Amino acid sequence: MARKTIDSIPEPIALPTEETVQKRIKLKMVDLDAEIAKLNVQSLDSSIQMIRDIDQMNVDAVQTTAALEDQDEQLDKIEANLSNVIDDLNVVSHNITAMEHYCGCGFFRILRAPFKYFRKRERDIIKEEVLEKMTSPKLRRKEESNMMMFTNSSKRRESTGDFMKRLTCDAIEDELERNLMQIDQGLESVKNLAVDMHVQLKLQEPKLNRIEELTETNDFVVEGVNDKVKKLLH
Amino acid sequence: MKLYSILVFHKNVDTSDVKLFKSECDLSSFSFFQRGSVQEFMTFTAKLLVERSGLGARSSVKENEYLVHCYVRNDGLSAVCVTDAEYQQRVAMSFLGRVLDDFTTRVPATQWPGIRSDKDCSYTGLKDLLEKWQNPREADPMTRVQEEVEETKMVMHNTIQSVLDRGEKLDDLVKKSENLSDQSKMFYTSARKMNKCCNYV
Repeated sequence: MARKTIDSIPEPIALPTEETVQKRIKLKMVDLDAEIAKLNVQSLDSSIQMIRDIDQMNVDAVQTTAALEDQDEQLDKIEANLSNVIDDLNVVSHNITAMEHYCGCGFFRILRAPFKYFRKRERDIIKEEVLEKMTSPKLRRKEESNMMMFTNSSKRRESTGDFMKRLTCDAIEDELERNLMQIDQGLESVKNLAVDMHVQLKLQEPKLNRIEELTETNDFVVEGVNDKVKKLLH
Repeated sequence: MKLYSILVFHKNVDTSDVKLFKSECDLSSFSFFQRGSVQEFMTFTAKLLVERSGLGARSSVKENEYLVHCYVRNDGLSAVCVTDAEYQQRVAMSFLGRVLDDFTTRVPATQWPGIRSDKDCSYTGLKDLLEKWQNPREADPMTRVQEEVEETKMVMHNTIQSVLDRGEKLDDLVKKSENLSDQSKMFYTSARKMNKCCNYV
């Protein structure tokens, strides 16, 4: 029994010496430094990529805004041309009415008088509504004032830095700070361009509405003229 | 998002004694009769937190709906601020660092042993800093950039909605234009018939 008891005792384990502990601590410190440097480099790469993306966004936004302005001019031309078409169609309608009076017989003309009156009145009502919406400057001014209120954007002082807490105070952090300031300015530009795009779309909305109404009016006028011509032919 | 108080302590590196250098509170959101107790509780909690923190440590403690942020520098100068849960921790730590840098700039380290009470400390910047950092947007560039990104996102969402509505209007316009084109073709046909009829007569 004494032999078993003595044999079961395990051999002593060598305790770590101070040198071993210091080596481990040094290894950890070296790893931390390497980790910090690695993170700094990754942050720098990310900030450079952000700058590229923001530049691309600015370019695309500028192109979009320019395209919207071109569309705005084209919508103005379409509106003017549709107005000309309405005027021409009114002249045509007037001439065909005169021809109808000359060629048609008196008896049928007397019978159709009330129907002609109603049809003409309906068309005149639509025409008057469209003309009122076109020629009234007050509505346009109200719409524009609303747009201007939305456009207001306060000017902001330049960024003074301090985006991040300094840790190593080396060249990488300096460059990262400069990149972040550049990102800040780029984002401000992107925001202004976004507001401009929104304003441009809001300005075009009433123009599209007017063009839609003009097209509808033209459609009705042409339909009426077609009916008259068919009756004259038969 | 509220910043309730800022306190500056000094922790003796050797004996770990903690002295209160300066404090500033904004307790306008508390009841008038509770402000004294609240201030005492904040001071006690802050001092306790500084005592329990090591040099060079940053820590945050949550108590109900309030957060206590603590930063102890290696030279023993410490700052503690009390905020609500919405105030960002990163901004709070930046605030503490700024306060300590400003304090060191105005009160040199040689004067610290002589400060034994609130009156001995000649630093007067805490009130202004507390007011300035109530709104992180003004004080912290990163928060300002984030808010700008959020605003841009909202504007673009509205723009996308406008573009979709515009698309529907354009579809309607296309249909009406097609109707107008059909009517015009019929008119052209009728006009030609009319011309033939008139020429024959």
